[in-house]
Amino acid sequence: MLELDRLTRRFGDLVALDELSFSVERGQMFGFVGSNGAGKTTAMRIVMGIDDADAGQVRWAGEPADRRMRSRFGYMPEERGLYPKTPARRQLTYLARLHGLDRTTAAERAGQWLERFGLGERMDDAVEKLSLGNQQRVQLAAALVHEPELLVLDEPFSGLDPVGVDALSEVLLERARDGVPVVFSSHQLELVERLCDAVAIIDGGRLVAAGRVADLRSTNGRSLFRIRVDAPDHVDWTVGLAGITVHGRDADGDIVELHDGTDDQDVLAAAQAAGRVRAFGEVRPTLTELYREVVQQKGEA
Amino acid sequence: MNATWMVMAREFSERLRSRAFLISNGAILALIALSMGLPMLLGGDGVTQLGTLGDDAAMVGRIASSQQEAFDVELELVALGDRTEAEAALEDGEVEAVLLDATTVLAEGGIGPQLEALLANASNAVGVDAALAEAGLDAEERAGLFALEPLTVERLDAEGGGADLFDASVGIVFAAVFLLYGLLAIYGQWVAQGIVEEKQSRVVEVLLSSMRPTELLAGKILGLGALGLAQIVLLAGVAVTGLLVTDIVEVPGAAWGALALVIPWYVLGFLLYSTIFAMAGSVVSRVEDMQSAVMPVIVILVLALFGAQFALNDPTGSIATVAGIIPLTAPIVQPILYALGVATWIEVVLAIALAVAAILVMVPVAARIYRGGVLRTRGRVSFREAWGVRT
Repeated sequence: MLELDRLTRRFGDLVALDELSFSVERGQMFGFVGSNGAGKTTAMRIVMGIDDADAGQVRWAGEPADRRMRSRFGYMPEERGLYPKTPARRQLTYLARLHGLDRTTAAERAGQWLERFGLGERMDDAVEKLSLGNQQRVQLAAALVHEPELLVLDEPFSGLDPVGVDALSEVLLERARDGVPVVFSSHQLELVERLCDAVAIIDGGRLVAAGRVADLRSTNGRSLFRIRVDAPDHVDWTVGLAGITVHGRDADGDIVELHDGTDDQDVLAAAQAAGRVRAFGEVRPTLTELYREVVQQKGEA
Repeated sequence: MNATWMVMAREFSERLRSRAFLISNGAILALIALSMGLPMLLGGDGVTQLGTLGDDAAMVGRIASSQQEAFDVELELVALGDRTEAEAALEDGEVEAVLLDATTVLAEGGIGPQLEALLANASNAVGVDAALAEAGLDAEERAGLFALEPLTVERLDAEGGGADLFDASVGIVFAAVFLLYGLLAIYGQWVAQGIVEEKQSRVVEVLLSSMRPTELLAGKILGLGALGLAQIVLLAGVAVTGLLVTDIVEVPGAAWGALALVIPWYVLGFLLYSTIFAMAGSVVSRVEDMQSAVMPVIVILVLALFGAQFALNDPTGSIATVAGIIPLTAPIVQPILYALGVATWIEVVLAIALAVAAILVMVPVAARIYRGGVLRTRGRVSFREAWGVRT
């Protein structure tokens, strides 16, 4: 398990991280979300030991992370992270050796990962000669080549086409199934929602929301329903119904909040009494809506 | 340490593999070989075959032979029968010129200014000798007239002892120092370039996730420094072997000492300059911006080279003495002073001690600037920002 415990990092007067804490479980796909400059990259660099926190601690399996542990982490920086003029296999071998593999094993693994990503024919080409998609594959292979116990990826999906996104997701999900926590930052919130078990949302270096995606989407205990009733003469079926508040109406139906203690089956019965019920379902906000809400709230405060 | 070693090995082998490196070194080696081989090829064994027709010509030839050293020519006389034989010998290349009589030379093309002057001198001597004999002087008197004292050359600047660049030993050491200057500039820029490239491609982040910045910097400097050392040893080795084998110039014993000194001065100079180049590389983010950042360092190197030339003109002057001691100029100026024989042991030891001290100061400074600048991938970082990154 990876734990970030009250990480604080200042650059001069700028507070890049302000007591940031969250944890990532074994085998978890973890999305790290926030606007540009929110502190995602700084936090990831501190996890990897590239940068040091002014205060706070990074723990791995309950112990403060040190260089030896971190040599078993895999990292992919934003955008590039490879020598443009060096052939793919040679630099993967080099990176694997830096992580403690011996020369033979390093070369073998480098070859295996490149084969696996369909780059078998091109492993001796300079990276700059590969297409952008292939460069990204090599970069991912660089993070995976020493078979790390934790993956930290900064914007791994940016610039990928949908096929590339699927291929990358598949590999990451497979790593997670093997028990490797996968932490990645992304601006593509739909993707994060689809892939991740848990997320952390940060803004201005502070954590604004964190937890399992399912829990976050369950709307802070509010229960919202979308209900569409074909009532004769468009009579408002909610009139006189106690224990509910109507939040909005459109062609797809009404958004209705059920107060505490209101039984959703009673509401259904009332709707059926008023006309033919075409839709009746719980509404959960998307991660995008949630993100807007928490980041805006903070902006207004 | 293990990481440093791997970075070193990578820096060494990646540069060694690069085509530019191989081509430039091939070119330098070819140039050295050519400069040694060419005089041998053109001059053959350095002996000029001179044909003579008849007694008068043979007399001129003998006198010319006796004076050949003063004219830097080596003659071998070949007596020929007649003009037909002479022409055939010229065409076959058996002889390079033929004295037809005491005052006429036959050659295919020109005969070169030295040989011409030598033969003209000998021819005059024979003519004067004949005139003196006619005037009634006997052989002994005539011989006495020709056995005059050689010319004494006095120098206006004999006290200052301005060095002659064409003096073999100084020329060789100056060439070696020039090579050293070139290697410091090239390898120093490679250090800076490597840092900027890793920064621009973000490889540095991947590397720093498995090693400390100081390990990475040390590996870079030592790897490139080792390659430069290998190169200077190889080039100097080829040049020295060439000098020994071809015997083009006489190398005095003192020059060997000065030449040997160039190698430790390369090591000291590289360690010092590479830390400065590293700092220049740490504060920029793109290779395109690197030139402006390393320019001040290159200027210092060029000034050091000027210092070396200054030392040649005025080896005992205070500028030369000072430039031979201060760490940034000493690597280039000190070997020259040593070759000229004006450096005292105290000055040599002081220069080395100061250079070592400067390196010991610069290494942690450079490491700190590197650490502060290398992760700032946007725009140019000021040295103050890079220095104070932990505040």
